[in-house]
Amino acid sequence: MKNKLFLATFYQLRRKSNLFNIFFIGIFTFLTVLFGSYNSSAIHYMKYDIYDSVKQKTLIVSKSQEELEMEEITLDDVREDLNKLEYVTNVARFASFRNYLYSPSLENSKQSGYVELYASNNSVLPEIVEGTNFIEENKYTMICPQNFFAIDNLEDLWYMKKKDGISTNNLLGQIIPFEYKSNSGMRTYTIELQVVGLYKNNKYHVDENVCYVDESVLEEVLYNQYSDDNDDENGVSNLVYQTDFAIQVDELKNRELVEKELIDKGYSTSPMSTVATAYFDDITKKMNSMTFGILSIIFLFVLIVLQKKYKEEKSQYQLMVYLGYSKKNIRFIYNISNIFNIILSCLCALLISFIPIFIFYKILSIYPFLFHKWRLIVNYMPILMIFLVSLVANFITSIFHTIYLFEDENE
Amino acid sequence: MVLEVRNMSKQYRKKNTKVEVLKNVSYKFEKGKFYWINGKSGAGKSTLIQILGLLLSPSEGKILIEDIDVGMLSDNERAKIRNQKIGFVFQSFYLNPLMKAYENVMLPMYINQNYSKEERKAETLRLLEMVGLKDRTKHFPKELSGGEQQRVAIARALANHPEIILADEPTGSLDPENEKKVLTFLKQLAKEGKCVIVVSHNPITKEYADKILLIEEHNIREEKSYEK
Repeated sequence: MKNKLFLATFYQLRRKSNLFNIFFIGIFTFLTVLFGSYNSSAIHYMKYDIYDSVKQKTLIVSKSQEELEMEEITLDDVREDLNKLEYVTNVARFASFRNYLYSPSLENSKQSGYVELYASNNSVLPEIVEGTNFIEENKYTMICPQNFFAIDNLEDLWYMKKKDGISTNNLLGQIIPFEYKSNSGMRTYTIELQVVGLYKNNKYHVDENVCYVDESVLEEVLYNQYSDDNDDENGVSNLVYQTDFAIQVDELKNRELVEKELIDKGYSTSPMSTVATAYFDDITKKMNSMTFGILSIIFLFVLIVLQKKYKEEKSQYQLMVYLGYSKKNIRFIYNISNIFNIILSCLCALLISFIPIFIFYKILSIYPFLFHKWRLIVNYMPILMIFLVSLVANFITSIFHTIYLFEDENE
Repeated sequence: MVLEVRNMSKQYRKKNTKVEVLKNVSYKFEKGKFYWINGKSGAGKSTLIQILGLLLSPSEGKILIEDIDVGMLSDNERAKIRNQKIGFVFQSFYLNPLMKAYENVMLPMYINQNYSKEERKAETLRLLEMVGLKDRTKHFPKELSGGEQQRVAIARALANHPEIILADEPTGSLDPENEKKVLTFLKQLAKEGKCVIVVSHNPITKEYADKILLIEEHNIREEKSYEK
């Protein structure tokens, strides 16, 4: 058995055409691994990582001004009602839930100086790694990310290195001035926020430009922004008509339950942002079709390679017949030699795949935001699929090839 | 008697026509003799040698090796006989180009359970030394001359100590000097007790043959031996 294995495997590497075939199939297999890995990474991001953000766990809850008047309830009543809901961790007026503010002290050649501020409370903050969370005595505080970039366009982040961010070495305790204008642009306001804590960035979701403040800070900003807004014909500020609330649920899985409860209470709800799953479903479908196409091509290619290999080696199998190798021996050597080549191709693909993975992580070490912090899922399943497909191709060819080897010219 | 054909016939079918190659051939081959089989092209020399080598089955009749009717044996048993009792030498040498000289010689031994790894190695070196290729054991066939390749083929044919050597045009690809060397060697094997059967067009084979067989009119006819 050992001798036959030796004949079926070791000598294969001495034939240049075998080495070429192994490498060629290996390259194709590697391409399917690349393909499959992109697909898996995209699917994982769409199914899991993308939902791990403030926006995905936030619902916009509405009751119109007319409804409030009809039911004789105030915004404070609504807030109280919403705070009582199970799984709800944060309630804020939607108009003052989020804002972009500019700080001249954060602006530099690479960063615009804009920061995305979210209204938050201590129970929904991410993990604080330095400093403290919000302190009651001073509402003008801010929790910033450990990797902090003051940009409003996330695409600017792609080509930035970690060291391009705001240095957080001496950030704790710093008072950062933010400037903003009223909606008409006629008035300029300044608000100063002290950095009291740094939070750990989400590993797979971009939050490098997100800071958290108390809701009252953003409310103050909001009122100032609307300070010279045109009142309606009754002399009532437009702000009055912004009656929506933003509520955060503890986990994404509870969002539907909360939604149902809100609807039962007579509120209308909508998610703060929706994931374009249809778009990604479409990509996934196309990729699956392309993967199937590539597998079919590889199957045909393997058939051709096995046929070519047999033609090159036929005389050696014939020689084995002369030397007294039985049909069983020769079939064994034939099949094992083909399977050996297939295994080497798969190993070749595996080894080649380490190169782009290494390059990928090397690039990420320099430009960590280049791929939106997507988790890289390396999908090696195509290698297994190609191995199985190649085994099927070998099975088909072996039936024909070993028949011809032993064909007796007698009737 | 080591090899006998008894009332053996062989026909091929081409479309609806039956082509008779050999008809009612009976002959006994003995140990220690050098047989030269010749005949015109298409007379059936190669067919005969393939039948004697158990590579083709006769349409009728029997082949006996050491009194065993090989027609009654299974494929595996016939393969075993081919491995242990018959050695082949071909015109085109038929060496495995991916294997070195010693690996080619070892090839028949791989499936012979009677050899251990050390015995296989020792016997291979002995055979290559015997054919004068002690210093070329690790050369690939493309690195050897025609004569050297044929000697490796002969060493391979002797790997399992067969009693029968079947050589199909063994000197066909060689120059006159190497032809003589190969034929001399085959003659020596016959003297040592093997049954050597050579199919050849080369008339100098006559000088080495103990028996000359002519295939004519689908049968074997023994001619008078060459007298030196």
